Amino acid sequence: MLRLLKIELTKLYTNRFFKVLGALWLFAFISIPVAFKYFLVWIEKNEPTGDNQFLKPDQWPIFDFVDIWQNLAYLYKMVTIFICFIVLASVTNEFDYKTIRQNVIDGMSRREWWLSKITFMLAISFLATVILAVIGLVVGYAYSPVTDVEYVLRNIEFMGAYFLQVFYFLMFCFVISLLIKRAGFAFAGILFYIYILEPIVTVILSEKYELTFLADCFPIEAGWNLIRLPFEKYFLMYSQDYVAWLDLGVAGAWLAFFMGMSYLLVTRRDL
Amino acid sequence: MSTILEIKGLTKRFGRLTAVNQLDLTIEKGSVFGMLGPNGSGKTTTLGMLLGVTTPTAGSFSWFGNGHSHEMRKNIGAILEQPVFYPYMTGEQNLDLVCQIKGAEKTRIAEVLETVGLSGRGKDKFKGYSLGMKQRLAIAAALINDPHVLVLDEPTNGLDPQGIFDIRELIRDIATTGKTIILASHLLDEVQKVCTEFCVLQTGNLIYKGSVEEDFADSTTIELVADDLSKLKTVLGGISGITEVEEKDGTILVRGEKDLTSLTVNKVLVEKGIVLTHLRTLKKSLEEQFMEILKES
Ligand SMILES: Nc1ncnc2c1ncn2[C@@H]1O[C@H](COP(=O)(O)OP(=O)(O)OP(=O)(O)O)[C@@H](O)[C@H]1O
Ligand SMILES: [Mg+2]
Repeated sequence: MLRLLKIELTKLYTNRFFKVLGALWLFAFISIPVAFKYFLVWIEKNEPTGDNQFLKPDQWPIFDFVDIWQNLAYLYKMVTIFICFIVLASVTNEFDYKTIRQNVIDGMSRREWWLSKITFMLAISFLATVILAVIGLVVGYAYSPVTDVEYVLRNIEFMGAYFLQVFYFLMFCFVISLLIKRAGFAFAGILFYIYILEPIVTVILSEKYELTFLADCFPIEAGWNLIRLPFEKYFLMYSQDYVAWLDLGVAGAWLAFFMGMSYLLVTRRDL
Repeated sequence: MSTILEIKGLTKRFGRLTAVNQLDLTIEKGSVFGMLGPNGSGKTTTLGMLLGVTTPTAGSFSWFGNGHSHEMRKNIGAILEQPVFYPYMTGEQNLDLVCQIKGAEKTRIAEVLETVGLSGRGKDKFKGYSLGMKQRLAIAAALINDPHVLVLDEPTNGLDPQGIFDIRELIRDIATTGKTIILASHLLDEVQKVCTEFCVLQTGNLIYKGSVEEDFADSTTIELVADDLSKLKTVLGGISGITEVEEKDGTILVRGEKDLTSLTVNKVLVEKGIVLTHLRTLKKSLEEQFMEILKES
């Protein structure tokens, strides 16, 4: 496994584009929470909520313990996009350059080739989770009024959910890249699906036909649902502040499908 | 001699097109085996199956008398069609990756770069290499794990005469180290110059298999005309080294072994008092022989 990870990393760290994306990814972990905090302050300044029973946005306890894990995990969901680009570009490159074929000729089995990509994605998901943990602890201890271990550790299930979510979206990109093989088309296809096709279909399903669960079963929706939007509770609405077994089940089923599908695509086709 | 590769009934169909049809071949250790055939005859497809990237429709093959697996491919150095590397990596980084895949020692990188004459350019990016340099790097990569077998698919494709000469020299040098080499090419001349054995494929069928020594030996043909043709014929029949004497349209055609020259023939004839009115040495071109093989099938 380690050998395969090293092979994959050799392919990536020698590429300037990938290094820039990796740096942006790391930078986003710090800049996103900061930017969000300023965004809330900015909202309050421009659209004062006035005197009502709601908490003012700049007062939301987003970085307090208990809340912080879900909030950070939710805010970080967009960060993975940088690694998605790396997965997409590196996989389609391998077909474009025919290096996947050469790797096999040189003595990698197709299974090893698949595993080298999977290992990389697992390693990134793990690293992302560690970063979430470190930043969560640092920021939490800095801002949170309560720092009892009991509170610190409550809700850390979101760390597990975050790990799954990162891996989930990387796997999604992996499968699409293997299917389409061309960077431009794969990129356009993913954007079209995520931002146009699936939102339209799911909105129609849930709003018009009230088939909310069916809408939740679509792959992108299922991935996002691992970590539900946490901020609604700050204006006295309900928001799901736990990881639901049903959400886990749906996402898990898709993940298993992505794994199987990618394995077949790598091992069964002529290269 | 032991068998390096045994192919039995290997077949590949792409839809209705049969690219390789029921191929049977055995390649012995230490031979330099040429795979000849016109464009689209199935050479690359065959090698692709042998190297695990194309799934055979039917048939089987066995490397080193041991079936086939990716572990075995670590002991096979191969280039299929064109040099394939990561363009954004340097030559050395690319070789380093191949080292990791094949489990070769990193010290080999400098050695193989030296072997192919790329020592000074290892730190340059692959995408900046000339075609000849790319081919050389591909051969370097193929050699990196000191493989038992080299599989080369048109290794001199697109090179200038100097490049072609250099690469052929390199292949011949490697052959003297006892490695088995399988070389696919549509260049007859190339196969004749570097191979010991060869086969000919046509639209997926094996139509010929033989030894380069015997089939492509530079046989000499000499054309002679004299006043007294019948006397000339009898005298020629007695000269050693001549294998065939034929009369054709008032001309005598003489075929003989490689070292037969018009000079030696003429000397004997002068001694016997025969004066020639015409003497010319012909060489049958390899292309002609190849075309004959293709036509006969
Ligand atoms: N992936 C593929 N899909 C469909 N047909 C293919 C595929 N690969 C090869 N072929 C067909 O198989 C036949 C043999 O092709 P192959 O590349 O093996 O020939 P070749 O002997 O290597 O030719 P060349 O000397 O031009 O390299 C050709 O007719 C080709 O069109
Ligand atoms: Mg070919």
